[in-house]
Amino acid sequence: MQPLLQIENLSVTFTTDEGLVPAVSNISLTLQRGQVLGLVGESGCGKSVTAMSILRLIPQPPGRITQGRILFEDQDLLKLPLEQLRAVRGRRIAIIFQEPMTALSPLHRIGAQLVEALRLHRDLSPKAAWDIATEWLAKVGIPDAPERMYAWPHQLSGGMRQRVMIAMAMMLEPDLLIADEPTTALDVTVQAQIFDLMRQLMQKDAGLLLITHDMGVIWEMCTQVAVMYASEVVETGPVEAVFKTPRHPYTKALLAAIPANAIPQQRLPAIPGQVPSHLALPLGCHFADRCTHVFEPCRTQHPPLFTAGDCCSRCFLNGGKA
Amino acid sequence: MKPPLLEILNLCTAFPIRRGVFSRTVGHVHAVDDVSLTIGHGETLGLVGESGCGKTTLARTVLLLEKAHRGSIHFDGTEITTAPKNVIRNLRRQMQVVFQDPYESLNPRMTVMEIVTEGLLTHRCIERREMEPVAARLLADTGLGREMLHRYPHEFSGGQRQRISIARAIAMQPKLILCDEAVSALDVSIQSQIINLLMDLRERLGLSYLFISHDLSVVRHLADRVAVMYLGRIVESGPAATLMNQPRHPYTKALIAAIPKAGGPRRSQSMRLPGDVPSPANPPPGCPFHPRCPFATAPCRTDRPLLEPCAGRTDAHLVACLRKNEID
Repeated sequence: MQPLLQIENLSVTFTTDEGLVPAVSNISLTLQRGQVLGLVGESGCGKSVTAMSILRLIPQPPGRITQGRILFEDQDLLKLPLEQLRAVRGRRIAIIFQEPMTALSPLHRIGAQLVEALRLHRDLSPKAAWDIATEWLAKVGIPDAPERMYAWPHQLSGGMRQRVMIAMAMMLEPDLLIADEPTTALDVTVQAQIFDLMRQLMQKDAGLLLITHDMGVIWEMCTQVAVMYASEVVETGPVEAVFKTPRHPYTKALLAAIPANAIPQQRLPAIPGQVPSHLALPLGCHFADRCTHVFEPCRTQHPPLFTAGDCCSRCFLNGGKA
Repeated sequence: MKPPLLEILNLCTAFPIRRGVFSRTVGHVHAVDDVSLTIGHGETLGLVGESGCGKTTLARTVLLLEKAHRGSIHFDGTEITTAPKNVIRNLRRQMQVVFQDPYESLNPRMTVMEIVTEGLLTHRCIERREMEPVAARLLADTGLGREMLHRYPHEFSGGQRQRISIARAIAMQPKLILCDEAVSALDVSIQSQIINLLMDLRERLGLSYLFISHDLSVVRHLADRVAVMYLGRIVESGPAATLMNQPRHPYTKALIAAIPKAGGPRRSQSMRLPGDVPSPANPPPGCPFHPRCPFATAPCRTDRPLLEPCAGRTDAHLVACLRKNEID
C-alpha cells in the first residue's frame, strides 16, 4: 500500500552566528492512512522542524533543506510549485501549531477567520460556512459557540484559542493532520476531549502526525512512534513494541524517568547530563556521553539504524544487520 | 503535639472587577474561596487543579504577595496576615518560592553569585566578602559547578536555571518552599533530575514543600498529602496514596482518569468530563462542580458542600461532595 506520507533522508540545517546547525539529520518516516505516528523527543531535538518542513514552512534562510524527499501520496512536496503547494496546505494537510497566542489574527473575529478558511478551500455559501464553523467550535468544547463566533481572539483564554486553532485545522477534514504539541497548553480534561476528536478524524482514514514530549500522550494516541534525540531518529516502531521492549538506551531511560512509571517518593532514574549542543555533536553516537551502556565503538563510529522486525534503533547494542 | 508549620484557615482572596469610566467595583473574582489547609514540619503538600483554579493565588497569598480578604494564615505559630512588618520580615526568610518559568524569574543583569546571595545580603546574614564561598557551597548543593558563579542566567539551560532558583531559595535556610509549577516547563530527563534534587534537599535540610502543579503524576511522586482545587475551593484532600488510588470526589476521579499514562490501560471515552471550567467571576451556585458533574442532583445546584471526612475513610481524607457516601 502506498503510504500517505513518506519522508526519506530529510536533513535540515540552520545558519546561525555561531555556525551551521544541523536541526534534522537524515530522517526517514512513514505514515499510512488511518495511523497515528507520534514524534517524541525533548526540546530542540528537531521534531518541530521536521513537521514544519513537510509544508515547507521553514524560514529560508536561515533554514535550508539540504537533502531528502517528502512524498505525500505520489507528490514530492519539496519539489511542488508554490501554487500547487498552497492547494495542499490547509485543505489536504492541516497543521496545528504550538502557540495559540500568535496563530490567530488579532484584527478579525473568530467567526470571520473560520469562515474565511472554509470558503477558501470549499465551495460554500457564507451562511453554510458559518454554520459549519459554529458546529466545529461546539465540537472542540467551546461553550456558547454561536456567541463565541463574534468574539475577538483577545477575549479568549489560551486554551480556548488553541481549541479554535484545532477547529480550524480539523473542519476541512484534511487527509493529513500535523499537530505540534496541540494540547500542551491545555488542561488534561480538555486534552482528553481534543484527542477524542482527533480519533474521529482518524476513523475517516486520515493520517495524524502527532508531535509531543509526553510519552503518556504517545501511548494513548499513537499506533507508531519515532523517538528523536539531537536531530536524529534513534528508535522507531509500533507503540506497543517500543514501550514494552525499548531497544535504544535513550528510549529506555526516557520511559524510566517518567514519574507516573516510578514508585512514589523513590529517586527517579534520571538521565545524567544534558543534550549536546547541535554545534558540536559528538563524532560517534549522539547519546554516548549520557549513556550507561556506552562501549568501544560508540565514541568513534556513528551508529546506523539497525532493523529488527518492525522496529529500528540507532544503537550498536542492537548491531548485526543494518 | 507540635503545631503544623503552616495552617491556613478559611482563607479568601478576591480581586475586584472594575468597570466604567470611574472604575467602579462591580463585583469580585473569588480566586481563593474559603480554603483551609495545613502543612506539617517536613511534610510535602501537593496542590493540584486546572489553570485558573486559584492555586497560584493561594501561594501568593501565603507569601503575602496578595492581600487576604478573610481568614488566617499561621506560620510556625505566628498569624502572618495581621503581623507587624518587622515580624513578617523575619518570617519571609523562612518561606521561599521557586517559580515555573526559569527564564523570567532570574534577573538577567545579575551574575549567579549575586542572584543566590542577594537575599542573604539584604537580611545581613553574610558579609560581602563571604559571598563567593557561600554561593559556591549553594551551587554545589544544587549540583552546579563553582565555575558558574560569575556567569549570567542567559548562559544556562532551563534545568540549570531551575537549579539556580532552588539554590536561591535554600540560601535563606527556609522551613517552607513553595514550588509553583517548578518542574512543569522542563523536559522529562531534566524534570526527573530536578525532582530528585528537591527530594534530596527535603531529606537533608528537613524542608516542607507546598508543591503546586497541574501534573498529577509529579505530585503523586513527591507529595505526602494532596489537595485538589476547583474554582477556588478545595474539593478533596488526603494522603497521596489513597487520594490517587481511590479518589472520592467526581472531579478528582475525572482528573485522574484524564492523565495519559504510558503503558497503562488506555482510557475509555465514558470518563470524559464535559464542558469547561466556569468563570470564577460568576461561579455557579451550590457545588461549583455541579454543571460538569455526572452525578449532580437537585441539592447540588443549591447547597454548598463542605469539606468533610467521608464514610469508610480516615479522618485525614476530606471530600466536599454532597453525595460522597453514595457514589464510589
